[in-house]
Amino acid sequence: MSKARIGMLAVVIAGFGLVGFQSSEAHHMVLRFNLEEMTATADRIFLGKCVAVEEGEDTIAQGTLPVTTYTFEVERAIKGRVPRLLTFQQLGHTTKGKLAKQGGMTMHGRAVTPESFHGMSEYAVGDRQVLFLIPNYLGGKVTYPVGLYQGAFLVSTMPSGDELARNSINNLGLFTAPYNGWKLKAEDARVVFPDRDQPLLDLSSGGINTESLVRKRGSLPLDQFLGLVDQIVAAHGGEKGVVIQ
Amino acid sequence: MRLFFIVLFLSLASCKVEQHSSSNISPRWYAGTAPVAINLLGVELVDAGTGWAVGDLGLTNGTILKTEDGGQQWQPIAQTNEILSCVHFIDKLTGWVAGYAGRIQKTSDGGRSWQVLRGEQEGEVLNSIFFADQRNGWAVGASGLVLVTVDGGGTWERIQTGRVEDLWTVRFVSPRNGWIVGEDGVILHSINGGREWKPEVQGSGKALLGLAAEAGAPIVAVGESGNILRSDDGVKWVSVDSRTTETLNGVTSVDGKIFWAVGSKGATVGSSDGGRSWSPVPAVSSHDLMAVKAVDAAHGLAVGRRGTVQILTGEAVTGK
Repeated sequence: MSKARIGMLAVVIAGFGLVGFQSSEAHHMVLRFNLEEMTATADRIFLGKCVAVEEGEDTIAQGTLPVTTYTFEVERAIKGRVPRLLTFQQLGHTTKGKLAKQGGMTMHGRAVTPESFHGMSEYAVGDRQVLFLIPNYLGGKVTYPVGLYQGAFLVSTMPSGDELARNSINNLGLFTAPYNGWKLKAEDARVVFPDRDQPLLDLSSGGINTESLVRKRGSLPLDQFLGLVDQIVAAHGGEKGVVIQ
Repeated sequence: MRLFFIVLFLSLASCKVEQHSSSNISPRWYAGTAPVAINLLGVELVDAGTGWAVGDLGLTNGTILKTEDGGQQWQPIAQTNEILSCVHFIDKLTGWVAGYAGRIQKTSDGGRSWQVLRGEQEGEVLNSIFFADQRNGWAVGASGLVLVTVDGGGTWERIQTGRVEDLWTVRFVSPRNGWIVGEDGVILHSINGGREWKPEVQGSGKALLGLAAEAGAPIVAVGESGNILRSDDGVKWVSVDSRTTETLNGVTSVDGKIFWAVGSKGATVGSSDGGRSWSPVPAVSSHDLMAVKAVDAAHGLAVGRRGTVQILTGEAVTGK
């Protein structure tokens, strides 16, 4: 793919407003999302297992662009009506484990290859993820997680049996990142208050140990995390997610 | 409370603190000026004045900060385009930083220039880096990640530990003998330079986040819900009362006698008897503190959320 095509990919996503690009030597900077704004920005939030990955091309924005089609078996929907077997497309191909060259363009360690998209989340078959997907755009053909890599949480199981969820920046800023204005402003906050020393509303009546979540470093207990997102959805008047057959 | 610490530190007659060896020290923490608005995640101090801090990215980039006056003033000395979680120096010139995407960088000139030692690795999160000397170093991170170098960081070998827990801190007391603490109360011990790690039983499933270890001194691990564990031999661990229920994110020791641990909501607890007993001091900041380093009884730094800087000072106690 030509550099012009890569630029086109960049413009396609930058135009959506979530990414601002700097020089080719620098990482591009992605707006930081706290969990409430991430939840409000997503139209589908679900827990599921990746069961298929297929790379191809599609006609998008009057051009032929590389896309990757992912299929997830959805275990639980937190927001939106989500099919049991959800298939969606993301721009770009996977990086196939290629590492970044020193001085090259990277996003959290992932190399920028001609066919990949800078910073786009990738999933492997067998991965369990909690995904916060933006509404389909570009004619409804593609989507991606809110904040690119921020809205994709890999689920892992500890020897104790506890399940934990973490995005690729170790959940940094989920409760402390300021509202970036993409979907919400600070005055719209219902649950996450980044300026406070206790940035989460007390949700103990809903079974959420907010104090524990806020002080927890790194990965978060999956059930508490999903419960918190449930509460955020409800706080903004959203309906509980539904898995449709 | 201050009187309590005066009494405690009066008992440190044998404290090997060169610049204060002729007097007893009453330690006091106070708030420094936040040099940045971002969250600071790691701090280092190699003498009474010289220190560094690292952390999250701002809107455009991240910054490595340096102080030469014990934390009063900070200067940005380098830009970074990756979140850095930890910093470790073995002297005033030679140090390493590590962070997300497996990033590891080294400086040999006190931080003015940094060399990327390790190509970025997608999905890796490094939480702690430590060097016993110029050559032997270790880094640990999320999902059981353990890295070892024997050439100063030029090459890193990934060690298969079979662990999946997040590992939070690594410390060695010699090039061979070291420990790692992590999620679910994990403590790993190596006696062969980090090639093999053996889990140690300590009975608590609470996350251990910080670790302080010096040769010939007690080892202290701190973590979730104010959990503090202490070991004299590095094998048998005993829970001690921290007198706080706040999560403790970091701990530092001075000569194996003085310990400071910091954590949520500015929680700061200290020990002057080798970690056997602990006492809280009034919080200087209400912000979470993420890391702490002290070099003697009167000089230390803690950093945390929203650029919080907390400075340890000491006042000579006279008339005793």
